[in-house]
Amino acid sequence: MKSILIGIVLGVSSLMVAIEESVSQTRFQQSDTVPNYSDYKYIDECLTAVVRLTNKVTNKDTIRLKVMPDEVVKYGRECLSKVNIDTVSADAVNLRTWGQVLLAVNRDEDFRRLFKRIIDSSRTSAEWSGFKNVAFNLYAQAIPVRIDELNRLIDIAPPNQSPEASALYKLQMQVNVALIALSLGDTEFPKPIVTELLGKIKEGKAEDKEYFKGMSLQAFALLYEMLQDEGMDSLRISTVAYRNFLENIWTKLTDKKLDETNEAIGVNAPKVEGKFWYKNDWYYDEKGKIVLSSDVKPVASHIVPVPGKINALLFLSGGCHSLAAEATMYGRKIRSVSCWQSANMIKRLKQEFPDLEVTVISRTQGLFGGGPPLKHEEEAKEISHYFLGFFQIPGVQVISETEFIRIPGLDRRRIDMETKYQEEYSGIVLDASLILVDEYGKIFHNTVPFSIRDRRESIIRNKLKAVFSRINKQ
Amino acid sequence: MVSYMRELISMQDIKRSALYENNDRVLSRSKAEGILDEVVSHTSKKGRTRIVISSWWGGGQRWARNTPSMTADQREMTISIKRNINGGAGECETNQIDSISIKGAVGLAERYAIEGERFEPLDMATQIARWNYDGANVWSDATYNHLVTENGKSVNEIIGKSLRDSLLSAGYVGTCASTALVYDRDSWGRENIDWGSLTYANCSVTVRHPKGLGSAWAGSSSFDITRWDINSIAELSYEKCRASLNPVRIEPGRYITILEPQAVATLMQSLISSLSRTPPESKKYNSPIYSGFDSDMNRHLSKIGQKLVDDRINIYHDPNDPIVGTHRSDIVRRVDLIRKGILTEPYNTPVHELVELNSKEPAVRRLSFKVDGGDTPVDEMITSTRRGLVVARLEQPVTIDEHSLLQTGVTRDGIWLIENGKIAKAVKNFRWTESPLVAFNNIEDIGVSEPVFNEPLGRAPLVHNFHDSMKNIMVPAIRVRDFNFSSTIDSI
Amino acid sequence: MLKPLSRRRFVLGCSAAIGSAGYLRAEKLLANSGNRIEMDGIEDPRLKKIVQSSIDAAVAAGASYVDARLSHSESFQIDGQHPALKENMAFGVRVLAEGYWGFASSPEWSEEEAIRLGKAAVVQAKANVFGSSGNVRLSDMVNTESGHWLMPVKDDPFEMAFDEILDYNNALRDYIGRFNLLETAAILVEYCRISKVFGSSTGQYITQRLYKTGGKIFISLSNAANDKSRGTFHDISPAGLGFEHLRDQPLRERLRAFHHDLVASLDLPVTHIDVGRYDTLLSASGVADLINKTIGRPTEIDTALGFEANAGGVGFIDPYDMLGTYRLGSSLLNITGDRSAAGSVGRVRWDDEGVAPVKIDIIKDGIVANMQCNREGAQMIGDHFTKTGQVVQSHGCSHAPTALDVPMVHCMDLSMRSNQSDSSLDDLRGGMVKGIELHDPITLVDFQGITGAIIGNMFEIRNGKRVARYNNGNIIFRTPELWNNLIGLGGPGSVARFGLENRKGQPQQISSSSVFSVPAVFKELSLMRNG
Repeated sequence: MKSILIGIVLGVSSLMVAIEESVSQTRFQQSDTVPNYSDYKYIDECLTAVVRLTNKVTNKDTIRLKVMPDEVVKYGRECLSKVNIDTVSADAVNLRTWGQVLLAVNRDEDFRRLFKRIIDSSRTSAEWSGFKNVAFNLYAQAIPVRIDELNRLIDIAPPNQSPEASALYKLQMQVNVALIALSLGDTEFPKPIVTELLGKIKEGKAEDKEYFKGMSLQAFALLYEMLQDEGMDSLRISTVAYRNFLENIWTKLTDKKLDETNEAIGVNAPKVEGKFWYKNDWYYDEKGKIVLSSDVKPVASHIVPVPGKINALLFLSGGCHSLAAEATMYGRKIRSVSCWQSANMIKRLKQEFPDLEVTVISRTQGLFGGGPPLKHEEEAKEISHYFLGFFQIPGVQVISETEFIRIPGLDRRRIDMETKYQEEYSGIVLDASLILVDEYGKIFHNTVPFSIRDRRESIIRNKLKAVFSRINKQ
Repeated sequence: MVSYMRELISMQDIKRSALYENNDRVLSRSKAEGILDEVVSHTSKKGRTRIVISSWWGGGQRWARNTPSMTADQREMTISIKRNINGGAGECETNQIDSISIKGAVGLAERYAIEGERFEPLDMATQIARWNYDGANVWSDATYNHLVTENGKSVNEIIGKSLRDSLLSAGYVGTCASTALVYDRDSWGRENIDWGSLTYANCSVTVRHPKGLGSAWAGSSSFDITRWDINSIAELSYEKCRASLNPVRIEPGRYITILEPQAVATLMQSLISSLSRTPPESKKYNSPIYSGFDSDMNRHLSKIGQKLVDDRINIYHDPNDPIVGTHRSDIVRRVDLIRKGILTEPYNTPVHELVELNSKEPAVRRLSFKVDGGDTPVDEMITSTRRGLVVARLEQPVTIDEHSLLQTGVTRDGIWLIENGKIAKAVKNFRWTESPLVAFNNIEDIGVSEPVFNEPLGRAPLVHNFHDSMKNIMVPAIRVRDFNFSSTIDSI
Repeated sequence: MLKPLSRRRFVLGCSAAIGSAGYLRAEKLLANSGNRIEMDGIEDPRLKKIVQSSIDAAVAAGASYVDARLSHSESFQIDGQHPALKENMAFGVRVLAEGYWGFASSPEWSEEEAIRLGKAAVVQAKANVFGSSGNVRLSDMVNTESGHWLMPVKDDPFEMAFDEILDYNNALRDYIGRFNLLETAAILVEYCRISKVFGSSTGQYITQRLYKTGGKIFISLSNAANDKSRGTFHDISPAGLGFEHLRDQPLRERLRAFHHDLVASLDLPVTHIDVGRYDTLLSASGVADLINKTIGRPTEIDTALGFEANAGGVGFIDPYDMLGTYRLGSSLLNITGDRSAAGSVGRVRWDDEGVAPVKIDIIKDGIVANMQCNREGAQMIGDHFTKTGQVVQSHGCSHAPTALDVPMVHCMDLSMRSNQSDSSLDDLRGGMVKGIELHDPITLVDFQGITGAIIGNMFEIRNGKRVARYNNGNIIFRTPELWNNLIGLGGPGSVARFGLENRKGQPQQISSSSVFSVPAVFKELSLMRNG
């Protein structure tokens, strides 16, 4: 056994011995050795170790890895080598942990069997859908994405459901999978699903209104993505053409106007109002990379969306910054990942499309980052420094003053009123939304909030390419 | 003659050695900052940092069975380092102040922060909230410089008296001092420093009959040792002990009860703890002040603004109060918890306060509080009671129902029966089962508010809860109807 | 808004002139960092020199007896989210001078500080000299051996990879996360290692390294009707073991059984309480708590003799009157105290007075047979020992959480004798026609330990089975009646070890001790309704 090493301060010269600093730190140096995971008593200790390892590697950025790191695969194999998947007790298995490792080492067949056993053992419907969601997410987030497995998952229907409900459930799953397939560039996969959807809609038109509307929206989302090339062609002509393209799809589906969808494509983007305006100066370095000065300055208000320019309006407020402090103060999970992802994406797009006019739109909430309560102008300054300075978004920041009422009496908690921009963009904007506006002030892209992921980014990129190409032609 | 000589000699001894006594028993601000520089120099600029450098000194004298049982002088310090990097958190603490230990501790905190579990894959920027209030002075040179021999002398006198009266005395007299330097740096590199220092002195005396036929207690505490007098405390304890001898058993049940301030303070603890806005305002919660969900406003409501207890009751915390105030700190202000029986301002977290109220003055939870008194002296309460009980202390309260705050505990060191306006006899102790909410709605009379005894909080709170490391309480005696004594106990 | 700091930079080492006095020589220590010595473990002979200097200084200042302690405590806490390592080094010197105790302590291990502490402790003791000398006397030491001891553990958590402990914890969390009806679960585990040095003016010099590992798992279930069932899983309560305390137990099987029990209790109907007297079954953890509070504390010699009169209270067992004669319980009740049992959280090779622990019968066949003594306490009841032909000796009960704290009597690790026949909790329940069961209850006792109440998860038993839950009840008892009503005990197979926390003293000290207990049945206890 290693003897413990204790450093002692001695004030008496006879006992003074000069020592190597590195050695005396051993008191605090917990062993650096990597445990031999395959020696762990329980298989799931070993598996959590692999998950921990995976998270360490994959959490580094918001962009998904293309290949699972060798290290993860190696340890994952070692862990799993000692277990027979078919004999482990189903009610002792944490599906997320096991699934993540099984898929990481490409043992899809084993995971499928394990999942089957676990979902068969579920005791409540909530538990059942919980398992199903876990499996769905695991497949969708696996490296690489398991489209075939997702497809198989579709056939597992919830127990004790009416045939109609089952069919609907199945269709919804199919749409989800189809969307993932599309994002991976597979346009063949969704075709039969679209056909089926269209059939359902026809059946449903007469009867169930809600059912029918849900179906239509799903079919629309699918077609919209499937026909992307065609869509981009129309966008290259004009935003109006693009709207017509969408309108066509929608009308075919529903005999209704596009307005119902809240997509707002081709609609004139309302003027963004706000009391406080800031800007972050930036320039290109010799490698052509955007460099921002850390100096965020107030600027005069101007019209946004900027006429004659392609505009990216990034709506960031609420959880993005006001409650951030709570997260770090109490170690709780926070919901600002999407803000972070939006900021990163917009930086990449700006790099690629230097003429893109970026505006970040926020509103005051009386506080910032857990700091002391602030006046509107103080808070506006903090917000602008946060997005333009800390997140380094190259653009202009507009901030509205939020009006609010308070619960009467001693309670006095605030309830916020909608700001002008929230009102104007009502129904199409939530936190972390991105809206793209063309040179005539028409919206040509509206991202569903909280869904800015890799595939969205490529769609947005395509759209920007299309719009810029037509401007450049002019 | 001999004993006189001995006293003289030992005093000389002590004066010489007082050289040790009064030097640097706690860290001064400049020394703490010197250590801080060293800690900061080893800390990387990434993420968030909190460093607390605290020091503590305590001197105390214990006696029991009419003889001193231990006299001690203890010193301690702590360097606590908390790091948040990329959503991970790590903490390390040491009490060694050489640069190698410090470097090692910082290194380990950072390693945990980096290698431990992540909450968020990003380095969150956080601004540190600061609000400034003066607070009361809670440092007393008299306490800090109080000589252990002075205690020795007083204790000796108390013991002498109990020997003469054939009683047994036991007690504790102690002084302590503490300082803390709190350093914060957020991910933007913004820094803030807090400094606090306090002293505390407490004394308690128990006097018992040697055969256990009676027992009584008295105690007092304050940051300032000159605010209490050990001899008066002892005297009170003697008086009560003599009055408590040979208690008789009476039937358990509901009695009109006069609770002395010490008993009131104990009974109130759970009530004070439950006076918080989060929860119940943040979620449905089993709290006595939860009042339901308002679907129009989409908010959970507390009973704020509603009447909670007798309308003569005011409960508040005032940092500037010379008796129950707290040391200078940045998030302290006056909080009126209950005014005229109405729940006016429950304690609140800084985050809830900021987000929901946009206030820079959170009602941050304090241990210290004061309940306004009335004008009925306990004597008068006794005179106007036909049949009832007087209780000196309630002990060991345990909450058995969170919603109603129903508690159970025992009485200790003095409970007497009143008959026809006079103390008739000492009675045996009871187990009581009662809710402070019920008792505070059954008040008949309120006495004068006075400071009660509190145990010092030990040496840890200053490190971990810098802003609330003092506990000073002022409450009045109260007379309540139908206080529930559920069973008799044999302990004396 | 915030302003950047304008702190005065402190120049290290500039104030050497004040370095000679005061213990917090911050500048000096920082400046001398290069002079730290790498010690070869706790048994490094250079530590002996430091300890000896404090003893010499105290003797020179007039101490008749001195003991000096060094402690180096490391603790590692992990709840899966927020790992924290804490280190504490302390140096404490206790002296007897003029017949009084004096004590001084600080965090600095140096010869200079050693001398200061030695002198300061004597000053403290002499502060009591106003009139007669004190009369503290210590029992003789049966054995004054010196030596070095390492508590045998399989896996020293501080020699393990941090990741391994983390993985274990995460996997356990995953495992619990799969429990049916789970509402919340919390796991908190702490690993401690404490290295100690003890030297005294008798020439004894001891070093030892001890471990404490353990924590708690809280589980709360709630069913569709939002009915709740909560419990604390005690199997990982603190023990004198290393990481193996968790890893080598069949923890998962037990957690599953524990969970199963909570689920089963949710399925039972809630019934109203019929106040009265009922035969009562307590789980082993409930019995452990009961023993700790009604027997453990009152038989600590200082508590019994009134040293705690102004703190926790005077124990109800008067050793001068009751020792060897008082019937506390039925003859089924046998409790031994022993601080040398493997796995016990209080386990030591020597206590904080250098005494090797002695195993004693505290309650023998229901009679109070002995008290838990340190040297001073043993001497105070020396007549009893002499009369009964026993050696007047400490049982090794002296303990201080760290060298910073004053040593005092802390509860020994206690062990309850089980029944001969091997009956389990289920067997005991099976034998009850009508009664109540308290699973994992908490005992509340008064300040003398004579009376108390038991609260917690309570069930009605009919014909050997749990048939209903009580939500609102408590058992009240008088300690001697309770133990005299003891009618059934679990067998050797049902013995379980629980690490419990004790608080005593002024200023308050917290220590841990183990209780080995079995489930027990009591005849006709009083069931009451709350409120």
